[in-house]
Amino acid sequence: MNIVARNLNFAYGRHEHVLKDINFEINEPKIYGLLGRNGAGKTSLLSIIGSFREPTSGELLIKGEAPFENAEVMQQVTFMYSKDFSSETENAKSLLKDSNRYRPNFDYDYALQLAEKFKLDLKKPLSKLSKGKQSIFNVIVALASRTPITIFDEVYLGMDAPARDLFYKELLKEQELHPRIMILSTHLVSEMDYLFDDVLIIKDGKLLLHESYEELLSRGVTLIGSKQAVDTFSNGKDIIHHEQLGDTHSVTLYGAFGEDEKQRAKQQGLQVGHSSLHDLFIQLTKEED
Amino acid sequence: MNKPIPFSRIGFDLLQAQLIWTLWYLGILVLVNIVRLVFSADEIDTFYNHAFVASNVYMLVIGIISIYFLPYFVENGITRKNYFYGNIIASICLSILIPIIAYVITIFEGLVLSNLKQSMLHAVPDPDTNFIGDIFQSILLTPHVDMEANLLLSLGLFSINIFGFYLIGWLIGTAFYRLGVIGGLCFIAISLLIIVAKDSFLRIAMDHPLFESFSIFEAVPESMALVLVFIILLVPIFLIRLLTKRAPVKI
Repeated sequence: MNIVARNLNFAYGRHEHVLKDINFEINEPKIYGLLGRNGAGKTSLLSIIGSFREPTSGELLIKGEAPFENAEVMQQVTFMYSKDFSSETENAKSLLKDSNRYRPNFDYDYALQLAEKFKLDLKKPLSKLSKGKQSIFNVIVALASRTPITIFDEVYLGMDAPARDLFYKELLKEQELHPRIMILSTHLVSEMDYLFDDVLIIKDGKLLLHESYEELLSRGVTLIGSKQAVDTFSNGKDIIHHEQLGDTHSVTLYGAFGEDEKQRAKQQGLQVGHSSLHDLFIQLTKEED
Repeated sequence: MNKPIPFSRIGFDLLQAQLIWTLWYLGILVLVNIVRLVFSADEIDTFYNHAFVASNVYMLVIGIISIYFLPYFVENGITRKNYFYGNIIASICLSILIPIIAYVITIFEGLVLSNLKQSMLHAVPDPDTNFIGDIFQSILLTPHVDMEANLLLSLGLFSINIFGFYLIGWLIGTAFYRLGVIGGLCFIAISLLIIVAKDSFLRIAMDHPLFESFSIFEAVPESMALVLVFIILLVPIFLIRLLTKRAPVKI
């Protein structure tokens, strides 16, 4: 299973250039973190993968085929988002049975086990459940669907910290037992970063980067120390953040920073650290002043 | 890869869901009819005739709602095409089943109240030439044949009427879903024309007099009228497919 985007553009209604010339390739069954600020185009991109929408130009291919109205591809993709269940009178059990009917790999018993773990009332109409419980229902459907491509678009809204933690554990367990392409779009970067194998960041409709989590983290280096020493080591590098507190300067650099360079910086009395994904995300996607 | 879900399964599921609504609707209609039987001093309609008129509005309403199955199915990995064909099957089955169920209930009603005085509702055109009035009458007084006069023709007519209303409900719902308020309102106008044309062709086919406002249809030969009824029903079907074929699921 793979997803390829080539010169993908998307616009709708009065929203021009929602996605601009997106190119990427996802080939391995890994957990992909899709990050971007509000309105960056994350949901639009995921909507195209999930066959909810069609690209305006360019192409998005799943196993070499356009997913839109492609019956074979569509049943292999679950696009789960924060749904509005305010008028859903069916209960969770009945909707799980529906998913079991339409999704070829759906594991109904596993869904029931998850419902028990998450303490989800299966007999209550979805509309009567709290937002957090509705989110849990969405998570259960997506996990149990076992589709080769499973997308979670901010489905964790309203879930409390223990429920989210349980979800992360189940996600990792599922990925180990039934590896698939899982795409997680989230604003909870610092909480979920350990889940990601790869990270894709979108900014203003453009794909800013697509790298492995480790590689991305290794690119972000923080130097703290005297102005002179910091300036010496940051000279010619891509400074994505700069802060000053009294005589102490702190910079976040983005780009290759070799081991020998790190050693020399330490010898000059600088504190050298790696940026977190959270910090990198903030700095890389911040608006220019 | 697994074989895709066939549209016949979607049709079955859609029929099942809408049949449950229909049983609620018919149940309420039975209660209303019982209340009318108890409180009406004189003659009242049979359940069949009552359902013949009320089902038009019921089918219009569930037709409007039926577009909301589309995002549900797409979310479950079903194509818009399979949803469309599935719902066509479901709506045809529903249109055949409702008259039969209404007929069976009416037989029971007759057995329970054997001395019931039955008066049949006849679609006698009103001499009023008000165009809007004629449209409303054409909705309320769809061409009718007594079930006792010709059962098969009566059931068939019942089915065609409610199927037509389901289709225009589905078309209006789809237009609002896809095109927004203005587009939806335009399609209400188109739907009224479709219903007026369908009713007029049915009246010609059955040799019933036309409403004065729609006398333009008098030019249609009687032999062609029934064929035109089926052709005119293809118009909303074609338009619904056109509107849903590439419909985005907005989230």
